[in-house]
This record gives sequence, structure tokens and C-alpha cells, in this order.
Amino acid sequence: MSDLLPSPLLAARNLRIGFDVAGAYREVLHGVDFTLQPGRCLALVGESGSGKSVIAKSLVGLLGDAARVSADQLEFQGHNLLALSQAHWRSVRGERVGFVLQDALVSLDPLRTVGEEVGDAFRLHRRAMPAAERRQQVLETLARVGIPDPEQRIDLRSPQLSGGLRQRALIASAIALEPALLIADEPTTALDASVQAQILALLLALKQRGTAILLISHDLAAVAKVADHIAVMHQGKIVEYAPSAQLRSAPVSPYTRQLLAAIPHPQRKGQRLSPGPALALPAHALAAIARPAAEALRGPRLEVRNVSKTFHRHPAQPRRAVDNVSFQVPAGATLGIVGESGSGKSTLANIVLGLLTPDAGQVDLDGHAWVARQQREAQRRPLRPRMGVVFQDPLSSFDPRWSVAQVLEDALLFGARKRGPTVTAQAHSLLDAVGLPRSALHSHPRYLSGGQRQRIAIARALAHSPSLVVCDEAVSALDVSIQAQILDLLLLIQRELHVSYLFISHDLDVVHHMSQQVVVMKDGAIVEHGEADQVLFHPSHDYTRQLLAASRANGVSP
Amino acid sequence: MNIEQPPAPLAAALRQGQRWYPLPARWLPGLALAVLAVLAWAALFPATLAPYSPTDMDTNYILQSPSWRHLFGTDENGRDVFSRAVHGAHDSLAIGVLATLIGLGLGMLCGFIGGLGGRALDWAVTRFVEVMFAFPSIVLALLFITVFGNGAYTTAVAVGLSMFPGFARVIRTQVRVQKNAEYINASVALGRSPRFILVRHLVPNVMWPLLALFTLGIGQSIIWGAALGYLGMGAAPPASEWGLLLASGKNFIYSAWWLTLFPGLLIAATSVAATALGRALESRNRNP
Repeated sequence: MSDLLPSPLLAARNLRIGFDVAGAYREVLHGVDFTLQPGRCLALVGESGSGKSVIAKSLVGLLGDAARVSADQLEFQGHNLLALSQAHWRSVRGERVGFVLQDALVSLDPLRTVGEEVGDAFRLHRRAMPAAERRQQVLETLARVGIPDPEQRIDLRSPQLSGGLRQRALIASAIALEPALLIADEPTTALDASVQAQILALLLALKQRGTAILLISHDLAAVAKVADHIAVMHQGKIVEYAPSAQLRSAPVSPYTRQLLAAIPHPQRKGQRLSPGPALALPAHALAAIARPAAEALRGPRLEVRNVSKTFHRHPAQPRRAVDNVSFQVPAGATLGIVGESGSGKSTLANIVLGLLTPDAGQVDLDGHAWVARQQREAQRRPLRPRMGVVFQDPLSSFDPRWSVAQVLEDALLFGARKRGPTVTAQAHSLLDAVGLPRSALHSHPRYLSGGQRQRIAIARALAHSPSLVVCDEAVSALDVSIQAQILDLLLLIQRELHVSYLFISHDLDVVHHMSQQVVVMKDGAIVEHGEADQVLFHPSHDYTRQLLAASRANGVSP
Repeated sequence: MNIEQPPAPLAAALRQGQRWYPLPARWLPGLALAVLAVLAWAALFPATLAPYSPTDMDTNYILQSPSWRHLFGTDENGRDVFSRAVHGAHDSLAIGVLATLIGLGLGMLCGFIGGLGGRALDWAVTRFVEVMFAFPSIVLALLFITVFGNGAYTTAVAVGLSMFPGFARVIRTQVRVQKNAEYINASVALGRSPRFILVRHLVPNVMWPLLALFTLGIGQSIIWGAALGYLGMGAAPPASEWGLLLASGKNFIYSAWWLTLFPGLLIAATSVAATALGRALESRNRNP
């Protein structure tokens, strides 16, 4: 470690954290060492459950009553954090340590203005400050985090701001009192690539102005640009701790290598992302869900022709969400759709799924009329088994009252398939196919991990041997390593079952990894459409180049 | 850096932050269930619990205070108040359950029509419910009773009518939330019919979280029924519905407190037990 300078801002030695759960003590952090110098940035990187957020919470005293923290040393600005009382913590939080929470989009009170939210820091810690001066300070803070026209935006409420501006406002409230340390917990998760790049640039600028940053993320590529040092965490331990350039170029720990390999990379298309034994679908599972050979059709699985949809939510300014879009998805292949939020890709997905009626245009599935202005759901229903869907948030796509068994049996007991040998046996085959233990059948989706839930969603989509599966941001909410497993699984299923995918994502590299053809959408229209390599390596449209540049700025280099 | 030191005992008290209950909270649902079971028994088989007939007058024992012979004392006609209260359980509980069922049924009808219907239908139903809201519940109930005459069952319908706008509003909101949930889309994408989605997805997901409303409503409508009885607009004498017992006891409230205290306690116990059970069901429903 090169951080052996005289007085670190933050130093932890043998930090252990555990929780008393139902009378039993369970340790989740098993002795961690790190130091952070003033004006530097340390990134804690790892999957969910690796203990990184627990560290962040322990540094601001937000772990709750059930937590037990012990350490040989846990010091901030030379003060022992282990001995602080609640009132002490309050003076540390906000004043000396700024904390940016996860879920930027919901962390601001929707009923209060940005000025009030950011002004809270002054109101709590600088009680004597007059209101006019406070407003001036808030304006300066907003300018400091790069919010354009702070004079106008100070009186807006969070729903009136875009995701990027909300995240900036949140950072503004954390750094209002110019704390020596800023803790940012997943500050860029759930943001588009270009917004993510802007937020990382802001963090870099803050660091250069002297704020030390503890950055927490599951995304190794995203943090590399800002962080001086990276600590890779796994199962409550730091498995590798190194300067960020060194960690990226010459990772020592096998786990770090695995994390790096999990990031889809343009040069590694076609390779597996997740480690482990060779993947294969069990023969019985294959037999249970493979489409009968006679069903093999010529022509495209999905054909979208001149589809348009306009929303009239505000009568004065109708919004054209999808504008004359056409494309085809060939049999056994993947078409990727990439675009930022608001580009119309979700509206398009809902039209393709037959959940939303387009104003104009037509969609055919396996050569049958599927979606058009006059097409009714009752006409579509016999064709429904041919299309599966995997949504972004699997949990909300299951009936909250249903167990895994109910979800899968409900899917199986419908449509062409009659009550077969036994539905349970088929449900077992589905679980085998998506690599889940059969015991998962008896649990509730709520008690499964994000990756396991997404596997259940995939199993449900496969229940009727569909010819096309729509994946709407199917891996966007997952950690990189879980994302790698799910992508590998989807590719394996495609190889074995010749199912087609319509793969929708805001992540260019993920789309490239999955797709033969890529469509780039902006403001409801297709701006670029071509072979995946062509679009990624030789983009013809400016917007695609912008997207690529933003994605590269986040750390990945082709 | 200079951090202020707070007074230690206060900080400790803040850290503790635990609430104190007279008995373990986990006993509460069982206790509530036991109270309701006894009341249900009284409603169905009053003769097994009551030592006397509710209408037998014993002129030797007028306005006796509670004793072992007359647990709740006797009234101005020498009738045993305990027996009258036991026999009154039937009317009171019937009003409570029936009124809630009627209110919930009408509420579901309006809530689902409004929640699922198009803009015009939703507008019409919502306005109708709002108009019903605008009448004070008691006026609505009194109006109904004036038209249809009084009695336990008219009281139940009247109370149910006055309760339904509240149910309708909550149900409509729940329907609006649930029908746009992703799992409904997933079910459509599986090819499910609107009927299946309504019966298997929407109704359970809308109504289970509202289960507590039902049990809370029972307690509430018993009180309403009693209030109407007290006003002389509910069940008619010689029935011994609890509200009537209160009403007839009011003339002697300074001399014979037992005439009003015990029926009042029964009303309170019933609604508290129903409420406690509702809360328990609600929290179990939240974390199965």
C-alpha cells in the first residue's frame, strides 16, 4: 500500500461488522483495512452482499441498533468513530462527511424545492445564517455541482428535474458544507451512460478541488476513472487493494479477474462472461421446452413495419414516442435496441408485446398479424404462447401473492399445452433449464436474489417454447457479475432452442454482446440500424458516436 | 474538531427507544379472537349463557346494583341486564357484520367499476361516491330508516350504505394502482383473459390488503348501530340491542351507572377486539 503518509483522513484497521439477527450474531464484514488520504478517492467495488454498503453506513453511524462494529482502529480526522454517540454522529454527518445515498431518483422529497433540500444542510448546521445568505450559499453549491441556471432551478421540485439533475442536486446537498469526505453509494447506478459520464466527471472535479471521496459501486469500469485506489470486496473481505490503473491492467486476485471478465467488451463478443463449468441445458429440460421441429418457419420471427405512437398527455404538445419504426428479427437471432431513457424504446417494447396499440403501422409474429390499430387482444391471444417477455424488475412482474411454483404453474397451465404428465415435472424442467435448484419452487420470489428472480422470469418466458422473447432492460438492474451469468444463460438458451430475442437496453456494450443487429433509437426514431460490429466500430450517426463516447468515458475502452 | 458532549442518560434513553406493553404483543390476536368467539357464541346461543330471560321482570329487584345474583345489575323493570346484554349480542353483531358486508360489497362494485372503467365511467362513479360522501353518514342512515322503518336489519343496511363511499374510494385507488402493475402486463403477455386477470390477480391483490378495513368496519358499524339504537332509530324495543340498552339507561345514569357502563364496555370490547384482529391480519398479510 502506498498510502502510508503521515495523517490519513480516514483509517480503518481490522474493521468487523455484524448483526444480531433473531438472537444470533452474524458477521458480514470480516476484518477490513483501508486508508483514505485527504483529496483522494477510494472505490469499494463488489457485488451486492459483499459488505461495501455496510462500510459506508458504519462511517456515518447509520447501521441501526442490531449492528455491532468493532475494529483495532476506525478513525476519521484523528477521532475514534467507535466511541461516538448519536449526537456526535449528527455533527459528523452533513458537516464533515457528506453522504449520497443509493436510489438518487427517489431520495429527494418530491414536495420540497431543490433550494429547501440543499438548504437543509445550512439550516441544521449553520443556524445563525440569515435566509438571504443561505439562498446565496445554496445557489453557489448548485453551481458547484454543475447545475445550469441555478437561479431558475433552485425553486423547482425533484419531479421537474431529469435524473442527472436530481443526482447533481443530491450531491449538492451532500457537499453543501464542504465536508472533508464525500461518501457516494452507487451514485451512477440506474443512470444512462451519458448522464453517468457527467456524474463521474463531477465527482472527479470535486476530488480535484480537495474533497476526499469514498465511492461505492458494483461497476469496476465506471469507478476506475475517478478512483485513485480500488478495493475489490468479496464476501465481507477485501480481496484486492491496489492503485486503480494497476488493478485494471494487472489484476492479481482471481476474483478481480473474474469481475473484469464479466464486463461485456466489444473485443470479447462470443466469449463467456461468467466463470464456472461448461454450460449446457440438461437433455430432459431441452426436450421439455424445445419447439417441435415442424414449427420451424421461414422468414423473420418478428416484423415491425412503420409503427408510430403519439401520446396526448398534454393536449397542447403531443409527444411522438415512436416515429415510423421498422425492423425485422430473424429466426434464432437477436436484434438489439439501444437508446437513452425517453428514446421511445420502452413504448416500442410495449407495442411489440401487444400491450399498447400503435397509431399506425403493423407488427407480424411468425408471419401472423400480431399488432395493428384494429387488432384486438382476443385475436392475439391464440398466438400469445409464441412470445415470451422478461422485464427489468422481475419481482414486480410476478403476482406479489404468488410463490415461484404458482408463477411457473400458472404459465405452464395455459394455452396450447394441456395438463401434461404433471405440471410440477415441467416446472422442474424449467428450473433445471435456467440453472436453479428445484427447491426454489417452494420459495417466494421476494426471498430470492435479483439474479435468481430474473432466472425465474426467464423460466416463465420459456414455458411455452416461444419463438421470440422480448428482453426489456432485462439485466439493467443487476450487478455486473450477475448480469454476466444471465447474459450467458440467455445466449445458451438461444443456441440450444433457436429462440429469437428482441434485446432492449441502454447499455451499448451489453447490446453489442448479445446482438447480431443493432438499432439505435433517439426521440422515438431509429437513427442507426446495422450489423452490431458495424454500429459499434464504425458508427455512421453523430448520436451513436456520442453514446459511444459517453460509454467509453465511463472507463471501458474498445 | 470539537464535538459537543450530550448528557449521557438522555442519550442512553434515546438509544433504547423501546415501547412497553402490558402483555406480550403476540398474545393480542389470540385474545381478540377469544373475545370475538365468546361474543359470537352469545349471539348464536344466548340461552346457554344468560341466567334469566331478557324480558322477565322481577319487581322485587328493581335497579339493583351488580351482585353475584345479577352480574350487571337490574334495570327499572327488574330485568337482568347481563341476560339482556347477552341476548342483545345477536342484533349488535348482526348489524356489525351485515353492515360491513353491505358496505364492502357496494364499495367493491363502485370501486372496481370506477377503477377499471373508462374515463367517463370512472368520472360518473367517482362523482356519485363523492355525492354520497357529502351527506353526513348519520343523515344518510336516518333518511333510510325513516323511509323503510326501523329494526335491526334496516339498521344494518342503513349503516352499510353510509359506510360504502369510504370503501369505494379506497378500493378504486387500489384497483388503479394494481391494474397498472407489471405483473398484470406479464399476465396479459402470457395470454390471460380479462376475467382471469380480474378474478385471480386483481381481486386478491386489491382486497387482501384491505382485510383490516373489514374487521375495522365491523367495530365501527357496531358503534354506528348502537348510536342509531340510542337515538331510537335503530332496533326497536323490546329488543335488547346494545345501543338500546344505553338509551334506556341514560335516564338513570346518575343513580344506576351499571345500566350504561356494561353495555358500553361490551360495545368498546367488540370494536377493540375486531380492530386488534384486523391489525394482526394486516401485518401477517404484509409479511407472510
